[in-house]
Formats: sequence, structure tokens, C-alpha cells
Amino acid sequence: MILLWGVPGDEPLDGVHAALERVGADVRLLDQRDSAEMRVELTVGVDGTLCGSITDSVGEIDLSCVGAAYVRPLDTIQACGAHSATDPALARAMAADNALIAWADLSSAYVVNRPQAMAANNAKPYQLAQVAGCGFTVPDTFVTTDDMAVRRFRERHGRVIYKSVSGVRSIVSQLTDDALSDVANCPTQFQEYVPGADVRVHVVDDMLLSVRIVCEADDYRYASRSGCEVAMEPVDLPADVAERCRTMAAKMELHLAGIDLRHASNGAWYCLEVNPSPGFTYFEAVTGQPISTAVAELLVRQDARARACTQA
Amino acid sequence: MIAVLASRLDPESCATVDAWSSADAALLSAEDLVCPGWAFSVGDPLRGTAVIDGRRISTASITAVLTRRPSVLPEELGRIHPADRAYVAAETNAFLVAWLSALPRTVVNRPTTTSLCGPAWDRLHWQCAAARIGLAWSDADETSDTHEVVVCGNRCVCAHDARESAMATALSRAAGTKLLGVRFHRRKIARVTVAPSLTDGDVRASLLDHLLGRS
Repeated sequence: MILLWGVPGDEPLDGVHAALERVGADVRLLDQRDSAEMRVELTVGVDGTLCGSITDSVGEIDLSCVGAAYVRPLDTIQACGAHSATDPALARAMAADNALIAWADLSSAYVVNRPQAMAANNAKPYQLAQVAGCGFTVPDTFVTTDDMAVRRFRERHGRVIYKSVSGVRSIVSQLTDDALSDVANCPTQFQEYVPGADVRVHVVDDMLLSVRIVCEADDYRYASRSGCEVAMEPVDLPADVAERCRTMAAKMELHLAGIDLRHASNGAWYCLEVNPSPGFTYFEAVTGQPISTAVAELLVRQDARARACTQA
Repeated sequence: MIAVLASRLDPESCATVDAWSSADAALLSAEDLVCPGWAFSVGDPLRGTAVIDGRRISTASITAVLTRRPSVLPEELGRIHPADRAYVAAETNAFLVAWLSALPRTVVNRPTTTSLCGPAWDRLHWQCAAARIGLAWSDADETSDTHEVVVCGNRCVCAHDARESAMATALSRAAGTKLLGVRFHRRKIARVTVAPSLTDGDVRASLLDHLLGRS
């Protein structure tokens, strides 16, 4: 069985769900909005194997029958719509969500992606060090609470951008003097600006789907706010860059990843970030690249492999 | 300098800093983290500066770090506007994960992406980790007759026998920790913590030896 966990209406989850249903896969959706009413029971076998079951309004799932899973949980408060931290339903939902995260981390099923592997994206300079360790060029990056040090960093690089250090979503912006006043109160991340073309690479196991993004905005995701247009076109990566993307995703234990590259004006390939739970439907809608189908096919293959192992 | 990353309200950590004063230990508090003076270059961590006990110092002068907290809490950031505390705490924790991971010094425990002081594992995770290396788990509750064995670097303190010592060391290795408290009940593991008590003199001495590279 293939397990999907998340909130219906989330486009990547819906896309993969629809693709699985099209091929008649044995798929079961766990709606995170119902976490407060779910019962999750987990036990550890003598060999460390995690067993157990999940019961929701649809019925009981024997977790030993799950061969593959695609997990895209939201923050529990957001998913269950609790209005107060003391809401008992929130406590129940958090308990169920935490148990499911533990299962996703420890299960022998093929999980896209394990929460532990995804967490590196919550500390961006940490992830960038991982990226550099995989052989990619990365922008010179500096985290500080010292505005004078930022000025020196800007003198060295000319154009500098800043963005959040954590996984909190932020709009990448070019540094201006106005933004310097808050630096003393919060560690802030600055990067040299690398001029060039953005390339988004979706890695699905060993398959790559790449797209070149043409946009004048500092952050193409928010291009409309600055009145800029975004254009995208599928692109083939040089073989060595493609291989580095595959190897990096594998080293980070990410079966699905959205890698943000920049092909610099000087010809170098920079890696800016790796998104472990990419919102790929935005790119799919514009380019027609079959990313949902690729994820669904991966889950079907891995579920079949798990079933074959069990039967053997 | 040995930086002890802990809360000013944690009496055990403050006592440890006092006990290690001759080894130049100092408290790295939440307040220090939102002061001007921090500078960290990804790829060259020793080139930067840190703020420890209110003083700006060169990162290169830090010889070791002991981390006694899983995260910095928004409530601790009193000088930050209440509306901004959750965001600043998230940014500070993310910065610490990167800084402590990159620091080419003894850091106990190295952070993981979900905790500043080692794996943020719950009972189920520890139970799985123990079972996967063949260690037995006890269902004894907290009030049962238990005792804590502490792994400090290459030493194991307070073990009743060599078997307990070997079990605790094996679990510490599997978890990738250098400091681990393993509570035993009748020769089975009953509870595990990455922040064991440091009140025992032998534990404190062994830990200091590890931080100073003497063990």
C-alpha cells in the first residue's frame, strides 16, 4: 500500500494522489486535518522494527502493509485549524502528528522524504555547507549581528542579498542601508549576489526535470509583487552538473528534491538551496513537465519492491 | 575558552561554569545571541567572532563548547519586541545549528537539525536505536529502582559493571553523541537523555577532560 499524508488541497499532494489513482495504485490518503481524531499505535520489535497501526474515520491501516509513503504534513496548528494553544483537540492532533513523524523517520517503508532528512533545510547555512561538501560552488555566505561587518561584506562583493537563516519563508532581497538597523537584534544571513540565470532542478530518485527561469526580480517566486514577469523553459543540464544533483540528493537522503541552481554569467554553476519538500506543481503547470507522475511512478515501484521482499 | 551554551536560569549549568572557572569556562546565554558582535562565515568558521558572557571574542579563542539546551526559546529574548520573538528565536536556533556544526572544535553534543544538543529523540526513537544494536529495553517507570550511567567522551561513569558500561557506550556511539545519560533498571535500559545531570563530581571531571582533549 502507498500512504499519502497531508492536507487535501495542497497541490503537490493532490497531484501525486491523482497520478496514483490514474494508474489504479493501492493508495490510502491520511487527511492531516483529522489528526485529532486519529489513533496511532506504534511498537518496537526486538530487532528494532517499527510496527503498528493508524485508525481514522475511514478505517484501520496496518503499517506493516505500507511499502511507500509521500509525506507533506503542514504545521499541526495550521492543519487542524486550532484557535487556541489550550484546545484539547490540538494536543491530540500534535500527539498523532508526532507519532506519524516518528513512524516516517523510523519505518522500513520507502518514505518521500523522511522528516529527519528534510530538517536540514531549516538551517540554511548548515545546508549550504552540505551543498558545498557535494562539490557545488556556493555564494559567499555570512551570518552576523554586526552591521559594520555587513558593510565590509558588501564592500567586498558590491551587491549583497539577505534572506532568513531558518526555514521561515522569506523574500530574498537586495541589501539596502534601511535593512541594516535590525541586524544587531537577530542573526541575519547575507550572501554575495551572483548574477546569472536561475535553473530549478527537480530530482525524483535518479530522474531529473530541469527548467530555466527568466526573471528580473531578486526572488522569482514573488516576481508579481515587483511587477516582473516570469518565463520558464525546460532545459538539459550539462552531464557533470546533472550527476552532481543526483549525488547530492542521494547524500542528503532526499528521494525528491527541488534544487535551486544559478548558472552564473562567468559560466560557473552555483547551488543556492535544496528544497526537500518542493511545491513542484507551480513548475509543472507552466512547463508541462510530468513531476507528479514521476513521483507517483517512484512510489508504485518502491511499493512493489517492498511487497516482493515481504513475499520472498 | 570553554563556552557553555545554556540558560542563565539553569542552576546546574551555572554551577558547572563556576566549577570550571580555572579552565576559562563561560556561559553563552540567550541574551548573548541577540547582541551585536556575532560574525560567522560559512566555510571559514574560525575567522568570525562570538559574544560570550557579554564579551565579544574571536571564534578562534574558543577551545570547546558544551551545549545544555535543545533550543533557545522566544520567551528568553526579553530585549526583543514580543511580536518578533518567535521569528528571532527560529533564526537564532538555525544559526546555532550551522555554527555549532561547522566549528572545528570539540562540541558536546554536536547539534542535529532538530536540536542543539544532539538527537532530539523521544522514547520510541531510543527504543528503536537500542533494539537495532541488540540492547534490551525495560518498561520500568521513572519511579522504579534505576541508576544513571553517563558516557563522557571515551569514558563511562557510574556504571555498576563492565556490561552496563559497554551497553551505554554502544548506544552513545549509535546515536553519535559524546555525552549521554543512560538510565538502567535491572540491567535493561529504561531511559536515555542527551542532557544528563552534571552534579556528580566524576561526571563533571570526565566531561572537562573530554572538552580539554585529555581523554
